[in-house]
Amino acid sequence: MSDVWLLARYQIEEALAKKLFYIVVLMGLVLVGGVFFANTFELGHQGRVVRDASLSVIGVFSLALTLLLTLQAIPREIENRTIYPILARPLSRFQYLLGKELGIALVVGASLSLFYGLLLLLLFLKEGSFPVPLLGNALCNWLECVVISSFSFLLSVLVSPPLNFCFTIVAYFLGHFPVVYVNYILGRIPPVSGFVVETAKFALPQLEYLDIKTTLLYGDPISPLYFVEITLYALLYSGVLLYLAVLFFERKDL
Amino acid sequence: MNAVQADQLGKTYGKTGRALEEVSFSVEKGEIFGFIGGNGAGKTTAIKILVGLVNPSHGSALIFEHPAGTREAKEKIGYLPEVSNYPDWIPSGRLLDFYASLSHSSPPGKEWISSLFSLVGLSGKEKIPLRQFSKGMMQRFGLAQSLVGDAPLLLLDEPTSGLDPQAQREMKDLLLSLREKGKTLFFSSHQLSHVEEICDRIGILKDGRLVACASVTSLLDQEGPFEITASPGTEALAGIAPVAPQARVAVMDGKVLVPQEQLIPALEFLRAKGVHIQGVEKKRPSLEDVFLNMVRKGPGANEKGDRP
Repeated sequence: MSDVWLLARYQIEEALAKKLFYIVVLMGLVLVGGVFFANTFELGHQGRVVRDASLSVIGVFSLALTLLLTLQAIPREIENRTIYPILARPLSRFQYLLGKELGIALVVGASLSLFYGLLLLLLFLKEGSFPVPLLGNALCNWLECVVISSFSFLLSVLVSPPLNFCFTIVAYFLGHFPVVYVNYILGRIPPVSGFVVETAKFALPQLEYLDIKTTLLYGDPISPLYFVEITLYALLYSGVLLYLAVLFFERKDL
Repeated sequence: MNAVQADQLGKTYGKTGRALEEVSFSVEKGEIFGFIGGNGAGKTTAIKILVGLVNPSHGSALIFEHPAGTREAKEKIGYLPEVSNYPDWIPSGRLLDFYASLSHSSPPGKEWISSLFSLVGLSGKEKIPLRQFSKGMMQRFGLAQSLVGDAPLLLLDEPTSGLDPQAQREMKDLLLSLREKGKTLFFSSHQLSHVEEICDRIGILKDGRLVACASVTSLLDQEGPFEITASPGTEALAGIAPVAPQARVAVMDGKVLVPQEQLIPALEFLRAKGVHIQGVEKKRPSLEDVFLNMVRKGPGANEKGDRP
């Protein structure tokens, strides 16, 4: 485990050495603050609108950060051959991939903490209390980033970064496609096509389950058990993708 | 126990791209083994298989009796890649510390890193990011990172590449000093004079096949040409080509240099022409002569060699 942590720390330091990383984080913070103030001044006390827009901004920027850090993480190391002195050490390719994923998950987690920290602070200053349920959304955001990062990691050992970007974005949108619509489609197509849709539904990340924003905005209660379930789902799904990535990566000639 | 044992190693890319074909050799503990061959001969592929970066299509390789690529095998190797590229966002000393941590066996601390930098001629450069290093400095850093972990076997892919003549000489001395410390060295190089000077044994690769694998002395002895001396200005020497096509003739000096296998036909030809032969002497070839001769001969694994 110490090797995985070393690699994660290396990944974190590499992310922190990127100017683009700071630009994206800064832009995210500016937009979260900007949305908050713009809505306050123009629309008055429309807390729900403020929250909705701010959470959307955070969602977009956390996705952007995840893609920024994940898409090139392995291909660049292979292309630049900086991977050689690492993999020549007594560690497995599984440890290498896990360390990279862990590092990116922690960097994205820290960035999300900044975004949500700013949003909660602004809401506290405005409303005088911390909207604690938003922390549930923070967890969902982070889990979504972990899943997307695992998906992109798997693709990064199989396809080029541009293709990886396209496939990951498609998976992101399909993953957010409401389950009720999918079930509706399944009821109206031939069984063969239905099998394809069912398989895709099973293989693609079910990000819809991690999207609790609307429920939160309308103040509907969410059971703590639900958070346990989605956390287990995200970790299990990411674990399976990591396992597949390792299978392919082990066979890859560097 | 052999430091390296390769049996029937082969690597095919796609359906037809053969990078290595049935390559077998062994490297004894404590020896310096040089791997030479033209560009694309398969040297780097073979080294990458030993490191575990490339999976062999067939055959197997053992590092100190552990299958290549396993954790146990990697604990025994230090590796210098052919192209020295390292992350440029991190100070060189910290990067070396990171590699040392991954290697487990290196003693931690700044003093040890400083001593390693000093060993490769980079004293005081620990805090400089690698982006500010010249190509030669990068190569020296590459050697330093391969020494991290104090591994008993060093796999060095073109260690003198990118170095100026003085640095090449220093690198050669450093490699010899590492052997004195008990390390086994396996390296590829195009600098045949250095290979000849420091290697105990060499393997010659051509088009993915090992065409020779033997001690340097044995190779040079076997491959030595013979110099036939006749009277200066003997015109008959010029007509020797049909019986000894590879002969090098100096009519004015009365000397003919012929490969071993063409000596008898050459002598018979000259006697038939009535040439007075003053002497026949075996010349010691350079490794370059041997290499070029082997490569011209074409494939034929282990044609020459005391052991693979």
